[in-house]
Amino acid sequence: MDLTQALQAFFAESDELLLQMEEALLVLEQQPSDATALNAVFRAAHTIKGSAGLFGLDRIVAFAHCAESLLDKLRHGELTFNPEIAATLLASCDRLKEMTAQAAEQGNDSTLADAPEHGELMRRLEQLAGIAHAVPMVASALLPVPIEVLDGETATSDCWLISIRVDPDILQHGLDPLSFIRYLSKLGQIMHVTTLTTHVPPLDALDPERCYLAYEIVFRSDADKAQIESAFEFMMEVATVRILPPHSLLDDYIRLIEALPEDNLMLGEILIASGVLTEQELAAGLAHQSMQQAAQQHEPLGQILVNEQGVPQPVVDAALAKQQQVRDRKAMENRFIRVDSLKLEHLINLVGELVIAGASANLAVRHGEKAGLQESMSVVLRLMEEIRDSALRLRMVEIGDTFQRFQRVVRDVSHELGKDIELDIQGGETELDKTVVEKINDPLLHLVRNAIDHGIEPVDVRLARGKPARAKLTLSAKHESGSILIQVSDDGGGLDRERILKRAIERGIARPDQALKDSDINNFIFEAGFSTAEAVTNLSGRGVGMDVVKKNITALRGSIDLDTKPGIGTTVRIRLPLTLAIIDGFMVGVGDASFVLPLDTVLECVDMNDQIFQRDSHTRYIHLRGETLPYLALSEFFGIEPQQGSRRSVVVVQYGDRKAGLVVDRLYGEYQTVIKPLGSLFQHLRGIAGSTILGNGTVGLIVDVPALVDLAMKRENADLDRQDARFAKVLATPPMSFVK
Amino acid sequence: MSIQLMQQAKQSELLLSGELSIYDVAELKSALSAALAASETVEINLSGVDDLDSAILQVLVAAKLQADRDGRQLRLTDQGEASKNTLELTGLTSFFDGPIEQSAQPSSPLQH
Repeated sequence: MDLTQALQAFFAESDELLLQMEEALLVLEQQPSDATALNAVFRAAHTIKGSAGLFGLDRIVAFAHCAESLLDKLRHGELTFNPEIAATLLASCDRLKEMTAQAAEQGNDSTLADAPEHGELMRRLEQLAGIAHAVPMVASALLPVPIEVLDGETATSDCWLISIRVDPDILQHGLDPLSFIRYLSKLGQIMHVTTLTTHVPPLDALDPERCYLAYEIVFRSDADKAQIESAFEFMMEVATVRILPPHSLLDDYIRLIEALPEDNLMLGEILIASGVLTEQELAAGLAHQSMQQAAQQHEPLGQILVNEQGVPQPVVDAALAKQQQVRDRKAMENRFIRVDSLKLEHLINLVGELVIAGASANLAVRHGEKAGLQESMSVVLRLMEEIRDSALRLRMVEIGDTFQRFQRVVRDVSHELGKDIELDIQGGETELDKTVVEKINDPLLHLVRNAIDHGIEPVDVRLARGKPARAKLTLSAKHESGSILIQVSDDGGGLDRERILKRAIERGIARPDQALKDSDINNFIFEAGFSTAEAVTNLSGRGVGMDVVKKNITALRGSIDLDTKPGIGTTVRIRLPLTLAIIDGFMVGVGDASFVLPLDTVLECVDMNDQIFQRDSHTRYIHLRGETLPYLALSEFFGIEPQQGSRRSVVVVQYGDRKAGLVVDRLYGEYQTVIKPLGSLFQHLRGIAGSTILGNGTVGLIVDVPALVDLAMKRENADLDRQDARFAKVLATPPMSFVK
Repeated sequence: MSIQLMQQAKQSELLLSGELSIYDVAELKSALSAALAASETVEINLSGVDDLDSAILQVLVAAKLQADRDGRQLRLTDQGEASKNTLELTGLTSFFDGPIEQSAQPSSPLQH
């Protein structure tokens, strides 16, 4: 039986649970009396313990059990949450993370538990919980003896549970289950019998020679298992009789429920009604079970492990609430579905192809000029757009989850450095592509640590400066003109301009006599090797300096810059494109070629007109309604022969807070663009972000608007003077603005 | 075993007597089926029955379930000592008396 898939699922579930646990612990630190948070922590530990048990991960179980004992005392009000408990539990959370990670990788949890800090942590947990005895939980898990130490809980019932499931043709063998049950009553006292009528067909369909009844018997007796089994000896060949001794491990009852063919919830209720399990005991087992069901996708895991003797496993504590809560949790877990990301990729590729096909179909339809057909086509196109958006949205996740994880980092580092810092999160619901979110995590982490480390001053310094003792670190995200803007802001001391300049000169990046703007100086910190000497925290070995942060951002086709004011604070801004595989584009023509601009970046289109067209010696400007914009002719930039006699247009584009005009020959309009990556040969082409297949089958190039906007602003164009003369001739009618 | 059917208006009474065994079950089944189709109330008089075995028991159970589904009444009357004991042993006494307590068939309508 291949357990690896189940193990991975276990790991994924535990990961989520440990995250919840950590979040709840952080809440408790601020509000020690928050009962919901405490319950969340307990539930997480409890559930992990249970499922770890099913995989035989005894060390994890033992450890979780330790944490649970402490949590139990907290829940019952015997202890109050204090900083020491907080720290210990957070450390335990980390420990569990490591252990589950190892288990997922190796299939067992043996090695980690041998580390000295493991035992130390467990002792601390026990100490806090007031458990005096010195017997470490770990030891019991090491025993090779199959029957386990009864440190866990068992059912309170002192009765045997006998489950009888017969072969349908038992009657034809001349055997009647009833007679065996009557015989059983001689060996002890039958406390309760539940006759299961689940399998009884409608009266007309009933075959009189088959037996459809099953029985659950609660039986009190001093007889041993062998004697009880012998009561059913003669029926063994045509029936399955399962016997659970009194005070069985709760786990065994659950496994029994699973092994039996009827609905689990129903069986559970029967067991409660017959008095062999209490509602709480059952709820504990069922919650366990629903986690289990979410964890495996094919066969019930319970089947592998069913063993009437009881495989040595520590038990599930019976402390969860009523069944209603269990059902609620079930409903909540069903809200999400785990999807193989490869399948998602495939779907998105297909949607991409569909969009392209749709575009070419649309072209054909337009030329055909059949009204009805055109109408159908536009409906199809609209649907395709919706499918496209939905498919792409599947990959989008809220950045808030990533931001939330930094709460822990902020807490830990601030404690480490003795600073008081509050993390404020804004725009957490902003969505971006999953891959981008994953890749942004490390750079953000570095920036956050930097802010805490270097940006924010120690409490006494802050007070001396008249600032509040509690510093504020803000993580924010929002959409802005086709990109996403993430900011890491602190109200610390800002960057020391002089020090940076000095360093830059030392490293030969700057000359002492150079006239440098503030932004240039700030950007020096992104140079390689700049930050390493400053690093005081234990970031060594991770290879992350500001230059690596910048590299990571650039690799995502984003940009990073910062703003700082001495004594006030620093804000680092990261801009990332919404990396979608399919974007709304605006197609333009230059010469014979077609280019696509991301629609989000396009502000408006204006006809070229000599009244608005002006240049100065270094850059070229157009004046638009009182605003000056630098501009760039795509034909020159890409070296394409501009079309003679065509009416040129200027497309005004924007990136961030910068605008520029791009001169083109023709405007085609909106166009759904499937981004195809450029071949490796063309990766370093400036100004091109990707390519696409147009409706007529030719290749269109997607313009890298940010790059061109940048360029337009910096233009040196002595050699382009002569182009102006040519342009001047082409100018025609009064301006007509197509405002977006 | 013999099965006697007495029908009166919307009420049927089946009188069973003798030792019921697997061999009589098919007959019982059809009799019950017919009775349920024809009447609103069916009473099964067990005074003449010595004891119930699994075969008979499940037919009675199936009939009761059917009656509940169809909105009919089905009752067992005049059970002898042995039958009573068997019903008690299997926990089915209340099943035949009133609303179904066993959660075996959660979709069954509750009828009185």
